Amino acid sequence: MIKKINKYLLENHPLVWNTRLVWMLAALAGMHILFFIIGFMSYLSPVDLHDTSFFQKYFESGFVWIGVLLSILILILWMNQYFKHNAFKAHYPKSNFSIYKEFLIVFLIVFLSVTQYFSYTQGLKTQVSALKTSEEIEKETDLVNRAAPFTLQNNDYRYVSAVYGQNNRCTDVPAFDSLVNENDVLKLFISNKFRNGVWNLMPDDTIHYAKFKDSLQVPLYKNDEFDDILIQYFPERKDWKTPEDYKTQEPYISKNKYDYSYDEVVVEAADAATEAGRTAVYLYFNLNSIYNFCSLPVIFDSLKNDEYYAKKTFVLLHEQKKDSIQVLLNDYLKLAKEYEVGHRFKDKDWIDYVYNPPYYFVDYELSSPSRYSEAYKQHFKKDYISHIDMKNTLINLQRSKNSIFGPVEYLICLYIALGFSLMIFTFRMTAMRTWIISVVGSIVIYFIFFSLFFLIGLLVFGMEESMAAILFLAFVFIFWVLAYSGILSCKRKLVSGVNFIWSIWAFPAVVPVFVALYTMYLDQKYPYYYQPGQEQHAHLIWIRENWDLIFGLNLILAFLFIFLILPVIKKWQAMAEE
Amino acid sequence: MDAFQTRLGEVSRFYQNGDFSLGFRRLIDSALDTGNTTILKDVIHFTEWKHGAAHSDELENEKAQELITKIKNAGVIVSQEKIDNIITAKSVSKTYHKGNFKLGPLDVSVNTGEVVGLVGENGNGKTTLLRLLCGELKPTSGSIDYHFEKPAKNNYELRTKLVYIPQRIDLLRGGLMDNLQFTLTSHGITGEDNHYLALAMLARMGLWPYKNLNWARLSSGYKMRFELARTLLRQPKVLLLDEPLANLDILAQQIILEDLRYLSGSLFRPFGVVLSSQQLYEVEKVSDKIIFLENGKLVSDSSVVNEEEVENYLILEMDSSAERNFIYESLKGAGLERIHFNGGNYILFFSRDKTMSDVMSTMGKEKIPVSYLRDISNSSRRFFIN
Repeated sequence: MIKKINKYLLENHPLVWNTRLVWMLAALAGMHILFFIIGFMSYLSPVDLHDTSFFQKYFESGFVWIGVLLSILILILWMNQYFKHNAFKAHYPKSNFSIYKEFLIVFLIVFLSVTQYFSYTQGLKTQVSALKTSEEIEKETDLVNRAAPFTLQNNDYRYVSAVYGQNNRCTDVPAFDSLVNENDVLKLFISNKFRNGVWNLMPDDTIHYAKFKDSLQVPLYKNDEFDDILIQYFPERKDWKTPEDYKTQEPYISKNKYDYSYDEVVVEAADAATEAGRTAVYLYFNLNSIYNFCSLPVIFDSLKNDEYYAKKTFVLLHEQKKDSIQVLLNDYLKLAKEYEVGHRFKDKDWIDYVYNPPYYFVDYELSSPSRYSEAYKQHFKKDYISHIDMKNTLINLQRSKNSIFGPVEYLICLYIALGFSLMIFTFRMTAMRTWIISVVGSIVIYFIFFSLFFLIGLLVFGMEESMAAILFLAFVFIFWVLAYSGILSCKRKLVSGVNFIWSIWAFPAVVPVFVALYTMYLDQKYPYYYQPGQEQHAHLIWIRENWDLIFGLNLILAFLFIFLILPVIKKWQAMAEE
Repeated sequence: MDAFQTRLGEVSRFYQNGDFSLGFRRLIDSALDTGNTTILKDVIHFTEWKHGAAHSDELENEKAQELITKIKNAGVIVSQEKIDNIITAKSVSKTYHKGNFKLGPLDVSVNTGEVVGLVGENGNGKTTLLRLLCGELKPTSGSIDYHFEKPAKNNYELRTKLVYIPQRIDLLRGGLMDNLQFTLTSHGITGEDNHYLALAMLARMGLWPYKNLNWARLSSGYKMRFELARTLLRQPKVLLLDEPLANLDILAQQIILEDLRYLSGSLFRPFGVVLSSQQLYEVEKVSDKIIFLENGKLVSDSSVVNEEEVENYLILEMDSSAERNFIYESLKGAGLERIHFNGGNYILFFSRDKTMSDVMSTMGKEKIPVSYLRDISNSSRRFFIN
């Protein structure tokens, strides 16, 4: 069978036969199916989904190295077969189209040889995608978003106060708002401004509050002064602790073992207090409340934003629907069990941590670092729920329903394939000696350039980074121009061959270098300091927003360049040696 | 058509006289000239049978005759190209960047169906001239014109038509059939024709028993034959060979030269051959003309040979165990004017009115011991006297 196919190809499609295209496609299809299956089987348990970089498992699991080795092996074995015959070097009749087709075939084979990542990840995605339907994921996302305020933690578990603080909230809360008067806020606001020297008024100027009314932020709770006034109503919320308490008391001490950054914050605060010679530290007025939670852990539907869920939470709290909250928490725990999300409620029931009407102050944090091992769980000695794992699980489930690969992945693989295929193609089209001299020569030239570059850098103190980058980019550009002109002008076959190879290798860098130089020029000429009202140069914005388009077009340009240079390749091949 | 019939008559006679090897080769040449796949298939079947079970000569002759009749009926495709002169080089000279060797200036012309022998001692510019003709080198001055019916569009296309086989032939990889078939498909011959043509060429060049081997397994002599087979399938307009005989045994040398003679004169696809060699006698036998180079200069071109110079002497090359004086004294009467000894052979110069038979009869009478005798009056061998 194989012999028959080979014979048919040899007798009818020499290029396909020579490049072993059919066999390579079959072998590469097999390889991709294998990687798909491996990827499919790489999902072991829901714990895997807790990882934010779950879909980068190909790299993290080390399969990437197997993939790289396999790519090298396949390409070497293939080249060994492919290089057996070379119609072009043997001066057999060969049209430009045939040469170009050959290049495209080389590119295709190389591309398929270096893209195991896609099939592996696709396998993983297929497996995960089969776990739940989109409707189920939507329901679960909704549940998680509704329950999120009760998990007593931020998405980023370290800074809980960030999401439960007064000025985070996005909806009116009469429980707090009724305690604060707008005039009081305004008075305090104005006096703060004067104290800080922000406003200078003439001595005879009389302060009319009405005059400054617009200075307040709307809504009222967004002003710092709102908190300051609110504090007066809750003296018992003042949190007094000795520095020693911070170092020894739960939950901090147990956290310290696992979370060094938290450790630093607490210890620093305690140390600062000790230094100040105080026996107690006024740390904060703990006015954090579930009411204030306004954050969206998992985005699913553009209509259901953080405000939407904040309002839902508000209703539950305001109407003191303990049963409904209990149902919500039970549902969440059921889901947590399903996705093996870590939690512990031994000291108290969850509801007891959260159900504190009428103000629903947050006295405890249920946050925990994301954990994967049982050992971790055993060392964790306080009640917690690993909401971050739940959140990541749902995000990963959602990703499994959409395309995982963006332009970056495609472009990286395409450029790697282009690089390799240009190396192979130039080796194929020129003489081995010319090719090796090109490789060694380019290394030598770049080595000399960098030596000079650093020497100049040492001599000229304070050469700006951008200047250095411009020098380097300009060098790449000039290198290409010289190489390209070298092909056309030089009479010696070896020299023009080397130039020819260099110009092909360097071409894909020309446009990006040009764009980079232009970007730097604009940066220099129109400096941008992130001031309001100042806009960046339109071209800069366009370039930053469309970098993938630029690289994509550049790729097409590189393919076009190779096609246009084919007559030169032929001319070079037929050129007399001396 | 007449030439074809005559040739087939010859082939038939070769078989009848028992010259099977020559007959077989000429049979394939004739079959190739028909350009007919069915005939090629028959030839391949015949070859398979011939290399298969043991059989009697009568039977082989019988089968061959049948095949000859078939070929005769199939008819020949005669090349329609009207161009005779295919390369003209005028005042071509070449100097290298390094070294002080200079070739030329010299004029060379090659015709279709013609074999040109290029002779000269080592380092006299034979390879340089061949590389100039195939476009691998650029002449320092002068011009080389190629006359094809369809002029080449670019230099690459030109070089596809000029095939140069260097003394050290390029390494090939893979099987023999793969290489030949790939060559054929690359030249636009596909399908069944491709298969049978490749097989026929292997049979033609005596490589049939090795058809399943890898190129690397061939001996150097067979590699040269294979290179020739591969080259012929490329349908060259001009074939340039540098020392093709260097690695061959004496029998193989003769066969290759004969083959070049026969194949270049193909009725269907004639081509010109330029070959360099040290084997003067063998080359002269098949060449239409001889170019002799010395220190990069053209000493003699037999196509423009100076008749007077040739007719001055009857020049004989002789190997003998006799003393120089004895030979001189004995042959003086037969018109010997000058004697030259180069350590191996004697070169004897007789006045032009003497003939070989005169000299031989004197030698017989004088009882001169002779182990080798050759008339080199018209051979470029005479330029190698020192």
